[in-house]
Amino acid sequence: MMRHFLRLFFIFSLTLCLEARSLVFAPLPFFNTNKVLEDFFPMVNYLEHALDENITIHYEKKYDDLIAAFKANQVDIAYFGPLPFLTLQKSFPYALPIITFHESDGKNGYRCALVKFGGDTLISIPQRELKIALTQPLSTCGYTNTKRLIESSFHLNLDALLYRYVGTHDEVALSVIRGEFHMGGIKKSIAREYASLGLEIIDTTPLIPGFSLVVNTQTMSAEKIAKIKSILLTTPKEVYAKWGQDISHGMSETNTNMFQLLKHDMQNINVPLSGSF
Amino acid sequence: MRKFLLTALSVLIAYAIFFTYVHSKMKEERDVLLLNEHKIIETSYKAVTQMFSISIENYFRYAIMQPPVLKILNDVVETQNSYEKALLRGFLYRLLYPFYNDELKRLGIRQFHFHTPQGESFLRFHAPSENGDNLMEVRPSIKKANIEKKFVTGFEGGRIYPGFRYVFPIIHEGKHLGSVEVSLAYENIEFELSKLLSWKDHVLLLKKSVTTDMVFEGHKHHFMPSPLSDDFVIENQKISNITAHSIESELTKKINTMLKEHYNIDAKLKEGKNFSIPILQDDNGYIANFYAIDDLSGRLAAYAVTYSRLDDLVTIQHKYITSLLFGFLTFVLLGIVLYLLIEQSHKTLKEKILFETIVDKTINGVILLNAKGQITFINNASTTLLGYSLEEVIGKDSHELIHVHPHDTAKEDCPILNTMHHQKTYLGEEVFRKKSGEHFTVHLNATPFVHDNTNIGSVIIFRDISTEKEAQKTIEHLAYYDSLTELPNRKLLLDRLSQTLANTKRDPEFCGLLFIDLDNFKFLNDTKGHECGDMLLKMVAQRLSNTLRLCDTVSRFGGDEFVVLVTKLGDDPYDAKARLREIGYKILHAISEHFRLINFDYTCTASIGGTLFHETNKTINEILKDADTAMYEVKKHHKNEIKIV
Repeated sequence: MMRHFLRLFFIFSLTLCLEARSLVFAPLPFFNTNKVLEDFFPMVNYLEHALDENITIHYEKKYDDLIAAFKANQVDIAYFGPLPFLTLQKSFPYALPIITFHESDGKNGYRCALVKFGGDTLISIPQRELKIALTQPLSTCGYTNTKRLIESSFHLNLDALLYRYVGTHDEVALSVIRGEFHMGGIKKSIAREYASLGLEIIDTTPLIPGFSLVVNTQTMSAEKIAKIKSILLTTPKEVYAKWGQDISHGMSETNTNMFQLLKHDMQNINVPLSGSF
Repeated sequence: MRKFLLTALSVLIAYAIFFTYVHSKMKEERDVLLLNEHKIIETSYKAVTQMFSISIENYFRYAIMQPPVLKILNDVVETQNSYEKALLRGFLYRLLYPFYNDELKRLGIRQFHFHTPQGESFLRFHAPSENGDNLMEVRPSIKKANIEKKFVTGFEGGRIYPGFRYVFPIIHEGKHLGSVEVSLAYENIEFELSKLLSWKDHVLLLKKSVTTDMVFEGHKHHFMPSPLSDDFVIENQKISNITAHSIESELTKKINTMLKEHYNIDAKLKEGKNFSIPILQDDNGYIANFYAIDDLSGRLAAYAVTYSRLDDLVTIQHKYITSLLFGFLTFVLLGIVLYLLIEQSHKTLKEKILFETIVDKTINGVILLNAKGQITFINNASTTLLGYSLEEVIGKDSHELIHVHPHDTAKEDCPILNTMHHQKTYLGEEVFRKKSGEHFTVHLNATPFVHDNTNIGSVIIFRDISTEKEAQKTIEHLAYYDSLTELPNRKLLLDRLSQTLANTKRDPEFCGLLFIDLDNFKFLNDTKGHECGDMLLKMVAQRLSNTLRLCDTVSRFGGDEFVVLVTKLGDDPYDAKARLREIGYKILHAISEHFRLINFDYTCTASIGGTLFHETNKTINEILKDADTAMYEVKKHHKNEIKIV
């Protein structure tokens, strides 16, 4: 009885404590602070205004750090790619995707792309010297999908090549343009942004569930979650069109069924946590 | 009241001048302080923007103007194919990324940007995916560099960041290949300023025209409204926190609140000039310095602002207030003194006018002497009396010049000087000498001026009493002498008789008295007139005086009566009587001579009665009575005779 009471008291205290602080939003983990903040700031501002509540931004450079922070209830809302979300949900069932952002073509999913610099010729490069740039181990377009694309395009096994995690999609694109890597795996929409620097798409994956806003049901009330969902789903186009590139094409309620294929891949592919060189 | 008001007005004007002076000095002192503070921010800003100049110019020359780079840029100019352009952009990025990453970023520079000759953005190393936008109209520096083909440097807005630009035109073998820009973003400036101004709070106030009005939509959120003006923004603390410490500091918030509430800061910011605002509140001094940063078109683009405490302002203020208070008290005291001086001066002037009027108009001579007896002032009456001009007497020794001494008196013995030397007033008659040498008697009053028990001079007031003296002599003469005959009158005779009678106590000799009455005198008067009678009396008096000795007294006793007092008749009564008789006969004889009266001759006789007296055997009346009785005896019997009793 006493134990039950103490547990209730602890939960009540925690709830009070969490309710007392402002909402914490975590954008995509990245190295370039400004770029990502620029993308998410308008949306955060809009939410702050609509909720009439201050929102603090929590910034992490890596997905695994973001997942750890989320699990530690330091984050209330986060922008997750599908794979990192599944990774999170695996160990933290309180993570709930509520909104999925559309791609530039209006679809609520995206594709990963295998890219190279247009000025580079890959044929003359020995297989063992091929260098592949990856985002992060838990990134959807990271190891898992890049491995699949290299296999389908070149019949090569990524594990036999030189690969390294470089962080963000932009960094993968730029490192390929700079010639530091021969190929890289990034979101297709991002690859298109770098076409003006000669970045070419070699191949793309089938549609993957889009990036989503994931809420922490342990720190947020169902009412507030519903309110946020409602605010975002009713956001006028002229408003979200001014948000960051990746979140400016509209949004819809998350369809959790779309995660099934990825869940399956996750169970079959063992993602190495570091590069091969 | 008028004097008081005049004094108060003078003091007020003087205090106003003093106030203005103190205020200007305080302002001067404060301005020096503000200038120093301002120099700090100006120097810091210039140091930040110019410290890269040489490095950047060298980079341009030795890293950018290199054949591989120039070849790519040349190919870009040559091709119209967008794919080829994309590849060339990628190659350029690949080629210069090590330089950008290793050199520029190491310097803290992030913005490295190539433009086409048409002013299009070709490659932003800080945002490689954003390119192709035309900058000709929004970036004067790029326009200038590509049209005038000149190196351009200065602060400017931008599509991504406003900042300090170094834009070089790229010209190779006479061919214009575009331009390249290395920029210090506003964040770099803030970061570098934060290192230089580590002890101050500082903020970069950016004008909206170079920030939110110009940047890409996605970059607008880099900025947030400035707490000071709607025309300005500051960096968004949620994106960049270089100035977070300054913006969040209590000092900055406090100063900003005061600037907003009390100092029309919005209007000041619009002026676009450097300014400093010193603030004093609750005995604390603060300063906000605004260093205006113009863009390349010469328009205001930003303000570098520093906030700090400045306790010297309080010190200056205290000094200022103390000076004003001290000055106020001094001026009040001066006012009182001035009022008293004016009062005294008016009084003195009045007294001087009175003195001068009195001295000028008085008939008395007034001479002021110094302690040495030299004349320091002389009035008109004196110069008129003495016959000297003013110049002839001023500074001269009065003792030598005008004072006449009966004997050859030395200056030390001069009664006037000596009396005054003893700080006493001298009052008396003295003789003065005119310029002509003529002497005249004066009645004078010489009064010393004594100050601190020392004689510092004197005033001599004198008047000419010569006329008075003469008048006195005349009066005296009239009192004792007969005005017709000039002989002693009855009073003088009685006086001398009394004196003679008194002398007889010491002198054994007899004296005698002859009473003379002219015979038939009434008849002469009645028949010939008083004029003839008077003439006869005068002639008789003359003959009597001529007949008698000097020691004898002949007097007119009244009418036609004469009395002669004769002394020294010897101590023998018979001899004395004989001598007296003899004198009587001489008189008769003298009278019996013809008198020439106007126009006819007249013979006259007289009846003489005489008496002797000695010691105190008789009184004056008895003597006179005896002589008179004797004379009547003669008159009664036969006239023209003498009878001595």
